[in-house]
Amino acid sequence: MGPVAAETISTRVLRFSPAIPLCVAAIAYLGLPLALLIKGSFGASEGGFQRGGAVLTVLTMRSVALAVISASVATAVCTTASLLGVFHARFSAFYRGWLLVMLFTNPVFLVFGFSVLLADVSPLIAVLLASAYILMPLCGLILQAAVDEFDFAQARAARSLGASPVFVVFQHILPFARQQILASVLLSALYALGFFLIPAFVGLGHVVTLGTVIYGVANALGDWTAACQLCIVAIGAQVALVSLWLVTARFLVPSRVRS
Amino acid sequence: MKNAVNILLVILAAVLALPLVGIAALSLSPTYGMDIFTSLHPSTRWWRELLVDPSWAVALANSALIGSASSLLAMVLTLPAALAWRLEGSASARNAMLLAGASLTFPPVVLAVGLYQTAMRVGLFDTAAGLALAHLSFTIPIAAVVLSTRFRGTPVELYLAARSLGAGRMRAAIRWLSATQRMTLLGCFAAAVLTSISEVTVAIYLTDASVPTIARRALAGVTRDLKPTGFAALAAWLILLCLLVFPVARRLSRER
Repeated sequence: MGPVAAETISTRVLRFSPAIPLCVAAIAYLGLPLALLIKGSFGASEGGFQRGGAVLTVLTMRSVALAVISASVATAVCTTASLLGVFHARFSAFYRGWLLVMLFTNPVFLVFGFSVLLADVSPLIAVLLASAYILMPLCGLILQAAVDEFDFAQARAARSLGASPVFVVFQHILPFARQQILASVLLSALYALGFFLIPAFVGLGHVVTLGTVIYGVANALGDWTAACQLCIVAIGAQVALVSLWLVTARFLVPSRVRS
Repeated sequence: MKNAVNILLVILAAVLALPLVGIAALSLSPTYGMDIFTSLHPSTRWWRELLVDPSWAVALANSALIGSASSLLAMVLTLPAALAWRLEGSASARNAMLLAGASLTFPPVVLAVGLYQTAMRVGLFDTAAGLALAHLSFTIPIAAVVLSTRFRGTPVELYLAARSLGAGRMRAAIRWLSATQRMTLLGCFAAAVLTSISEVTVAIYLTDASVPTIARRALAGVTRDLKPTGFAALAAWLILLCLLVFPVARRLSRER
């Protein structure tokens, strides 16, 4: 090996070295658990794959539908709040403060509270409302970041040419943020796919989702093979949602950014 | 038009704030249920119990300790990659950051089951160290997002100038950090600690009785005690957070 080649390799190693600790950590907290999850899913268990394709499909579809609807409601509320915050500074301050407070509030307390406050509401509606509320900080952060990145000189120019605030919102800000709106719905839906406390306590066990079944077979029955197999089903749903996001997101990039 | 917008603002503020106020108000209930909304005699008995019951203080201390350890480790692991990405434009560092953030796209229950399997194999189930390490799957992505976002918005001329004057990579990076990013590091640490404290799913799967955390204590409140003391804890936490957070939010809004 010549001195030039050796220098190239050492330069490459030097350039890669800051990333090594992070890569090792990611393998430890993500790669290894996923590998063990796949390994643990081998074996026969009545609570897992042996439930049958039809049962698992219905369970997955129901969980995904519930997650996507909750995420959509949360995104709609947060989009409205972010857009109103653009024109109203005091509301913007309140909304940002609320986002931070919610982001760092332990959801178990909220689940406990919603199980009391929504005791008289139909279980499915109660689960949807509670899930949407708990998803709002995540949606809000993604959308607020998009709105903050918007170049308001564009809005001011449109207003000076006679455009109404509604026109500015619908023709300038919303098209700019549509990729983040989709990201908000899908990332929140992925997060909601694992909810088990809300269906169990707010839905009083009447709303069965992947999360509640995994929690039930793992913690109540101790059947970890079934839990791993159901997690593989959840990963399948996750891969489908992420693929949908990656495929559609590139068509939603604002045209001036794309050009 | 202006009236319609004002009405919408009030409705939206109510939608956002009222559930929190309602849940916090349950801490003043004279009995175990929703009587606060019908009774004329609110009670502070659950607040007194919160102060007297040591299990809440122990849970908060444990959660804070686990959160701090996890966050510190997350920052130590993430900072070199974040610096290499921003200051040197390293593609491998960028890819490592993306890989580290991938855990955010997994449903927490999937991560929790996988981390449980790992913890059982390495003997870290139901230990504070195990939970702190498991929380890296949340604290590292948070640190990666906060650091990369804040670093991206800061000019690197100071670093380039130091490098051109002969300073080594490490020395120049430390100077750049200390000159421009002290608040970012503090904010990143706080965000990671609070994320760890408010994480529920992994904490429930990975701990039992030996590591009483806030998540465990709150869940015990739901499943065993059935007392509204948890609402008092939530109300106290919300008051503390509001005092800390709203001045920051006002400043952020003014900057915009």
